[in-house]
Amino acid sequence: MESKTGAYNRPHAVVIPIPFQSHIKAMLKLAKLLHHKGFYITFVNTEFNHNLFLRSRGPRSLDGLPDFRFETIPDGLPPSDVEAMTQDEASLFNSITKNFLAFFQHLLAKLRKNSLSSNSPSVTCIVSDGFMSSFTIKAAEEIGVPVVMSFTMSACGVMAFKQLNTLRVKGLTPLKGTYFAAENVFLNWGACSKLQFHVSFYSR
Amino acid sequence: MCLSIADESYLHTTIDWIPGMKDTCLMDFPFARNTNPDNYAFRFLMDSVEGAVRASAIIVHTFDALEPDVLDGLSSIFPHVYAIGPYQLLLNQIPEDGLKSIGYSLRKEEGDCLQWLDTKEPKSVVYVNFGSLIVIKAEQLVEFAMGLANSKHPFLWIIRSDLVIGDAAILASEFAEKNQEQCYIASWCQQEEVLNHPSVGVFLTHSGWNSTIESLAAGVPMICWPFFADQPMNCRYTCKEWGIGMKIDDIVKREEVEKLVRELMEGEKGVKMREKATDWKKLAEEAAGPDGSSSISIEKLVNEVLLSNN
Repeated sequence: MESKTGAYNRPHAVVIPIPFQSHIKAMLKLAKLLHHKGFYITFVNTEFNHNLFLRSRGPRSLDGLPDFRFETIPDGLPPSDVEAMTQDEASLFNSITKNFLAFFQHLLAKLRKNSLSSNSPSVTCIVSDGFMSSFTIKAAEEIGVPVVMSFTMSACGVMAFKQLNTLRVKGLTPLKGTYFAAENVFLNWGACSKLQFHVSFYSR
Repeated sequence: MCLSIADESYLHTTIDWIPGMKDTCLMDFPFARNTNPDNYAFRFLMDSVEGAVRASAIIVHTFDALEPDVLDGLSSIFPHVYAIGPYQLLLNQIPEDGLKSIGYSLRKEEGDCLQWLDTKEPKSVVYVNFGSLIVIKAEQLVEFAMGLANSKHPFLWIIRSDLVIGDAAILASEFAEKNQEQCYIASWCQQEEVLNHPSVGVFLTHSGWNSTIESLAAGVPMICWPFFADQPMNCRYTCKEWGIGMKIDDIVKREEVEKLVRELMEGEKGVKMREKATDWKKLAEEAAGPDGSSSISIEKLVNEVLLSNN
């Protein structure tokens, strides 16, 4: 299928990464591949990351193409330090669970309005980051389109995450007890204020 | 399992019951050292992956020949699994035209490092980048810097403004000033272009997946210093299954950095790994070619899932 500009019966994929640099990069590449397969693309960033793009790549950098559009959703976090390049992961995960369904539904409603006024084709599928399943599956079901979970990882990486529940059931994780390993191992995880968080969060 | 965890032997607990995976142990898994049952990130990430089973299909950024057994294992768990990758090699097959203007980086990329690479011999440079999230201590920065300097090989090091706790960025720029011939420090770069530059011989990486598959697709062997999430597992596969990497100890020491760099750049192991990396690069290119497994896979994804409503 060749890509056509401005044909409004085209398939329309909404692509939404979890808001981290590495995921955004991989999902953008996947979106470009789908665009080449003939899809109209709506790529969804959080406002925070959208603004980082504009800052790093210039004010026109997310103008996109007529059939490769960028949209934003809020992230539900308090405003960040203007210099900040990353966000607190725990707060972000919390907000994804609590707020992102409503934010995403709101965006899908807006896209539906656009399609009714013939500004774009109606949404025909959702390509979600595998770590955003908590709300994207429900949202897709509501509008009756297929949803695919894209893991921006290796198969061994996906399997490692998929086995966490079994590891938990078998009692292998979390460890019971206090961890006394050399502090160097832990201090990898962040500035002192974030240390406690990183210890439990990232514990490799 | 109740542990007083002064030694780490429990981390070597063999995990041998996962479909398609052999020879892994607890330390290769995310959250291996977690002691908090209420750890929010653990819950969130675990629940998300469990929930993904309810979707029509999953996409994994890999290719059939790289992980056939694990992909079979995933197929026994998820309804449909599409192995599509490496994305960059698939993109190289198509005219990007207008899409070229859509970049990937939230940070400003410095292109000057490519000119510096131009001045170096083929496969002579160590490229160092720990990704977008990790924060390290000044002591660790110093161990890496000294180890790299002592190896006598030129190196290109990406030091983000927020990579190091405290004022170590100043330290780094002083270091670079003193070692202009040998070292170039940039705050961010276009990694695919760097990895595909003929001067780059080895990649010192945190084993994030984008980095790993970009390195593999460019035929560049790796020195791995994984941190969290899927990185330890990527490291295990890079080193043990694919034979294109060596792991550096968690507690980094300059002597080991120097030794591993020398082994990969000068030693017999390095020659073998480079050959192996070239083999993987060819297989990756085949997978992304017009009749390759990844090209077929994306076509199937489109027709079987994404257009299933039409």
